[in-house]
Amino acid sequence: MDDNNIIDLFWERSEIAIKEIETKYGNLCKHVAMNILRSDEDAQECVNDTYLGAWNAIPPYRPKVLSAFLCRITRNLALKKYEYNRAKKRDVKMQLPIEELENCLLSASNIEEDYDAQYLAELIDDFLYTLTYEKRNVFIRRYWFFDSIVDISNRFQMSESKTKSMLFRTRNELAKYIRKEGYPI
Amino acid sequence: MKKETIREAVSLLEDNLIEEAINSKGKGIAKHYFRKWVSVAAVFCILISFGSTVWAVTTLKKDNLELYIRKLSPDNINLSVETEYKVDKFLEALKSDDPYYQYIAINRLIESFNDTQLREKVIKQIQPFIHSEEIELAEAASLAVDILSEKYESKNVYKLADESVVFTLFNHYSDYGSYNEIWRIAEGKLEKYFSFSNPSMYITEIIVSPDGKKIAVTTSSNKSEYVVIFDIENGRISPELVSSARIILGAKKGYDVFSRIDNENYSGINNINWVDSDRLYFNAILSYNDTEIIEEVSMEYNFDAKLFNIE
Repeated sequence: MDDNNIIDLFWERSEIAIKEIETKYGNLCKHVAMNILRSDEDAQECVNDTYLGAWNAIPPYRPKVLSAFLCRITRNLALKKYEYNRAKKRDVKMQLPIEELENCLLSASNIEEDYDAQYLAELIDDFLYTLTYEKRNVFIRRYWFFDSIVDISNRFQMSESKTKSMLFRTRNELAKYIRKEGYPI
Repeated sequence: MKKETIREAVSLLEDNLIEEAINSKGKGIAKHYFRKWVSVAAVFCILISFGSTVWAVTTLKKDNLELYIRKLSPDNINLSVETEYKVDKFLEALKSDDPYYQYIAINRLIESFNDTQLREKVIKQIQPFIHSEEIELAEAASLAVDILSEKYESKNVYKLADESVVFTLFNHYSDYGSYNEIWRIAEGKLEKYFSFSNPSMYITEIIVSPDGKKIAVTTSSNKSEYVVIFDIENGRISPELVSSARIILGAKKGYDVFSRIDNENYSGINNINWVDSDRLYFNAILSYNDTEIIEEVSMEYNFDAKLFNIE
């Protein structure tokens, strides 16, 4: 079913909408949650909560891109759960790939003040549009979807060392871009 | 800037970018090539469709079981905060339902090598894991059995000219590499040969020199990469080559070169190879001024002459 029709079903308060997103985007949401939580049970719980979140948000909200909207909800829920698990020390896998990026940007930071995340997000968006299709999506798959290096290499049909090297360069280019565009890091 | 700001900013990426990444993939097959083979593929698809369904179910099941670890701390690999090595604790952990415990136990049981009587028992208990559906467990078990039975056939065991072998435990447990310790078996005795300290948190590669007397070891944090050479025969070690090259080139070009207190160099390497038994070659990306300047260089290091050649 077309995304617009699914959103219409939400607006009509038809529960078929939930079945439709489960069929169409259930696996995608599960993948996002699994990348963060690495637990089938926790990931499934996040996916179910995503459906509930979508049900509560639409209406009044009308997402422009349904897949991204659902992934965003799943990602936020999974990250909350991840932080909870980490605080409880339930897990040995303590690092998410986003830390590579944080470390790279923070390394260049001299100023302790904090700045607007929305403004920084816009800069990152702008930066990503300057990249090639491949570089941009490798970056987003790693730092937004938290895909493993192996998964990214398979998706883009390239070697793991090329993937690592591409990410390494892109991180550094981003730090340079942000500095150049005036964000005070 | 705070970490939270970066995390929040990334989570606010545009919907259009997220959508593109959802559907993203590598370069496809050229169109003419595709047309040529499409009829053959159609027939093939029909033949395998039933098999694919079965395979998909099996794969999904397997994906859900996949073991995934990013960083192991010393506490993690001891399975507790106590540091004394106790075989019984690890043998007990093999019986656990938790694959993380099993994985750690299998790797740590390799350390029982020096107790020849105990070895048989350990091998027997690890052996069933060779057939585990969990790839990480199966690979760890194969390595453990290979070492404990003194076969040394694994690709993760490196044979040297003096008939000793070196290896790492927890091989490629993380996206970044293996646990940052090198173990060596010489004259039938296992010893921890070298432990790297932060920021060399992972060993990414071990490359044996053509004469089998030296090893080049690459390590990484999640931000920087490093290389050192060990002369096993004479018990010598080179300086860390990437940071050294960074300083030499920086001084030559008049860059503001300083070392960070955390020893991160924000530099990377690739294409590492031995030219001969003394000279190691690799390409490096060296960064200066907080990554404002990036220099891509080819580098050769002569171990005996202690000479850097950077181009």
